[in-house]
Formats: sequence, C-alpha cells, structure tokens
Amino acid sequence: MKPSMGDAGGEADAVDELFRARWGPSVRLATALTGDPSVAEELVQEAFLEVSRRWEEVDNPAGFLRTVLVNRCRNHRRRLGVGRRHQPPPPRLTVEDPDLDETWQLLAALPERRRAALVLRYYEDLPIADIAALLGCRPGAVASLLHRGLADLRKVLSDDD
Amino acid sequence: MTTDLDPRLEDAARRRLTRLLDAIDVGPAPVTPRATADPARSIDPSGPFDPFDPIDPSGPIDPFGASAPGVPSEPGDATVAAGAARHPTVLDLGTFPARRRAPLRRRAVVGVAAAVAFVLGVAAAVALQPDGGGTPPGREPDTSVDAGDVPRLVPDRLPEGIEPFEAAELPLPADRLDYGRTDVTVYADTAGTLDLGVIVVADETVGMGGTETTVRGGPGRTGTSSEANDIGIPEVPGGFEWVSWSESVDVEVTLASRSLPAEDLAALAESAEVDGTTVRLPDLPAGLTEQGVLEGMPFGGASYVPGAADGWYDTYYRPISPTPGVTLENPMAQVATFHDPDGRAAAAIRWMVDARFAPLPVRDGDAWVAETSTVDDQRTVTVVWEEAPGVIAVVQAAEIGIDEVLDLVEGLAPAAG
Repeated sequence: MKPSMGDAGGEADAVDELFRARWGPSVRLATALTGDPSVAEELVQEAFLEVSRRWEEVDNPAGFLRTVLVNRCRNHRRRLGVGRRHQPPPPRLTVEDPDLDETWQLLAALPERRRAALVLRYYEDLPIADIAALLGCRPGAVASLLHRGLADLRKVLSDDD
Repeated sequence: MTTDLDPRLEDAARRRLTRLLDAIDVGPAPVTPRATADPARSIDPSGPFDPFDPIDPSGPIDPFGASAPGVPSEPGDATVAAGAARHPTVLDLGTFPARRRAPLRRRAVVGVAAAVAFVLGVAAAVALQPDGGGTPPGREPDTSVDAGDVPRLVPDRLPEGIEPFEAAELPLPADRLDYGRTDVTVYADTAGTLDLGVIVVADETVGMGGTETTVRGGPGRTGTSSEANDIGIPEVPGGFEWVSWSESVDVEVTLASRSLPAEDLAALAESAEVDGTTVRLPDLPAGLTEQGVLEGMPFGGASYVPGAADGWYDTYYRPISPTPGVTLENPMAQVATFHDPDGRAAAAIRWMVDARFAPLPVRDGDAWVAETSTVDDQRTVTVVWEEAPGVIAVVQAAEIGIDEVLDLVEGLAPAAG
C-alpha cells in the first residue's frame, strides 16, 4: 500500500524504493526515446521529482512516473525541433554487440512516434490501450505505428527467426 | 480497426529490444530527487526571471488595452453575447496602425543604402556576429524595403550570458519539419468577442491531456488550457477550452477558443469536414470569419514562423543545461522576420500568444507584446510588429525578462550585407 503524507518516513522510504527500482529501466526508456543518455538521466530526475511532488495524489506511482517521463521525453524532442540538427551529435550508446548496435541504429533512425510505440510495447510490455493513452492517439493508430515500426526493423528482426 | 501484427515479428522485437535496452550501461541511481531540491523550477513570481507581472493592470502593458469590456456591437446574436459574457475582449486582430514615417533625411540615407545593396547584389545569407553580437551593424531600422525583400534583423547587444546559437533561412527545408508541422487558422467576429482557432498537427501526435470524450464517433479529448500539451498555444490569463481528436494516423485536429465553451467546440467538431489537413467548419457561429492563418509552423519549434514564407529565423540562448542549444532549461530568444503581405500570419500568432494584449510603442512604431507561460511553466515573452510594409518581425523569448527582451528588440537592425 502506498504510504501517505501522514506517514512521512514511510513515504520517503517508498519514494527511495521506487527510485532505486525504476532508475535503470527509466533511464533506458528515456534513452531509447531521446537517443541521448545524458539527457535521459536529466529527464528521469525531473520525472522522479514530479512523482515525489505529487505522491499524495497518485495511485500508481510507477505508472505515473512512466507517463511523466514519456511526456517529458516528447516535449524535450519538440523543443529541440528546429535547433537540434545544429547541435553536436549525442554521445553514442555503449553497445558492444554489433547486432545490437545495428538494431540501435535502425531504432534511432525511426520517427519519434514509431520508436516510442515499439519501445513501450516491446520493452515496457504495455498494452496497446495504455500506449495510446500515453501517446495521445487512438489504439488503431498505435497498431499502425507498431506495424510500420516492425516493418522498419524487419531486417534485424528476421535474424532472430 | 486495428492492424494485424505478425506474432513472430512481435516476439523477435520483444527479444531484440529487451537485449538492446538492457545492454545500455546505466550507472547506479543517484540520490533520490526531492521536491524541495529544485527551487529553480519554481514558478514563484519573485524568481530571477520575472521582473514583470503579466496581469498587473498598473504595469506598462494593459492586457485589456483600449478595448474595455462592453456589450458586443454585433446585434441579435445570442452566441456573441454569451461569448462576451465569458470573456469580454478575446480578440483584437485589427490591422497594424500606420507606422510612423522616418524623417526625410533618414529615409534618404536608407534609400541610398538600399540602392547600394541592390547594386552590389547582396547575398541573403549573413553570418551572425561572431562575438555574440558585439559589433553594432547600424542602428537605423530600414523601413524602406519592399514587401518581398525581407531584412534579417540582428541585435547590437544581447542580454547577459545570451549567445548566438543558430541562424536559419525561411522557407524551412523539409527536414526541419520532420517532427511534424502545424497549421493554425483563426476565426473571429468584428466585435472581438468571439474567437476560434483550428490547429491541425500533421505527422505527429499532440498527446493532449484533459479528459476523454467522444468526437466524431471516436475517442477524443477535451479540456482547458492548463490541460493542453504542447500545441503551441501558451497558457494565458483566462485560458481557453479545447476539443481534440485524431482524424487519421498522421493528422490531429484541435479546436480551441477563449470565448466558446467546450460543448460548442464539440458541436463544431462533429460537423467539420476534414480533407487531409484542411478543415472546413460549415456550422461556424454567425459573425465568425477567417482572420489569420499560420501555415507550416514546425511542430515543437520554439518560435512562431510560417514555414513556407521567405524570411529569417535566428536563435540565441543562455547555456545553463548540460545539453547545448534550445532545451526546456536554457533561456532563449528567437528573432524571426518573414514575408506576410496580408498580415494573416501575424494575426494568427497574435491570437496564439494572447489575443488581448495591447500595442506598445517600440522601434518607431507599435508592437504587440504578450507575456505568457506555457504548460511547462516556461515564461515567454512575444513581441510582434510590422518591420516594413508586408514584413512581420517576431521576437519570442523564454525565461528572459521582458525588459531584456524589449531592450533586445530596440537594438535590432538589418544585418549588413
């Protein structure tokens, strides 16, 4: 059960526990969505801050954390919109395995929504309805994004058949 | 209807993406962030970037201007009266006042300069001042350019810590729009009591907040300004209501208004005729006519520019975040000039930032100044003016005080060829 404001020590412990448990997966999710590990860490910190601010109002902190994080990743990319192409390229991911590196290159090159749908579905294991809510579109649109995203990744995925 | 997915591909994607993302090297979790540990993100009006209270009627800008709340002048229209009751002066999209003409002597000098520039065939591309704008390129604003000749404005001084980031030319190349594009059409009545914005976002999803509703037989959302996501309309005093829906996989439509209630917007949505990114509204309330159009604005672009117009688009920023460039954390200012012969793009921009703001004299003429905040709690200042006949200039700044922004505006001058 989620500790309440009346249990300040318990709440702090719960926030710490959530932070420890979700730090790694959250940074990985944000890295996949933004393409930049250092930005990802920054956004995850901000998302956790938001969760701790609104702890009392939130029934499902882990779910709320994911929602806040995905929104921040999307807003970050939007704000970069015009200017980002003139920035230095983000640090490359440390992915030693050549197969995985090829997967990353394909994934990173996908349009934002397509990449987000793939990661939320196949890494976060979210149902399509939840992805639609996160991305603010219809479930049918998510299915279409996944369909197109899988087609984009078919080259590397067919190696796994 | 959903698209059938290949289960084998789905399994392969699950395995491959899990391997890929789990292989990303993530360090140990740092100290748990606490809500009290980030005062810089507070919206406390006494914060370092808020020298101006946007709703203080005694301030230098009266948000209601000369248009005091009153009875709408269009007779016999209950909708107009209802709109007026909700929000007395929602719109002031009148044409720009005539510019004060420069003295003859200055006009002669400028005319000679323009002629010299023409003879030399001055190229349009001009580099930003490499020292951060330290060398004044000439203080006299050139008001003699033809409508099709868009001057590029560069500041002779920049707010402390602000440095040049990027220079771009309009029209925007296609790859600048690959995060999606936004078209905004603004309708208003002559009394300025009713307004309606039609915002079409293509190739991107808006991800609106608010509450779920049914629009055109499918899922949609509705809410108020504070519940909107980044559709380009900042939150303003009084706010707005909106109804949004996905017309197709790649097209989302939002109807927003500061005067019409959400139920009226929902009714308009139901009868809308949508063809690609074109939205026709056959049931517009009486008196509403098209007043402004901003086409091809880059989705997520920090400034308001018509993507297909001729012009310039320069960005300055103050590096605070570890990530360089335009981020949510870095204060920034953008200076755009573009060809807008009928003022329709300017009208749409003025509606977007705050329809009620009043003109303020800057640069030998009247400008329209708005200070607003976005849903990300960013404080923005937008200044719109007619730099020359048919040429609109827009300066938009985030997290930079209005005094600094107005100082920057006053220091703008056409770049030397």
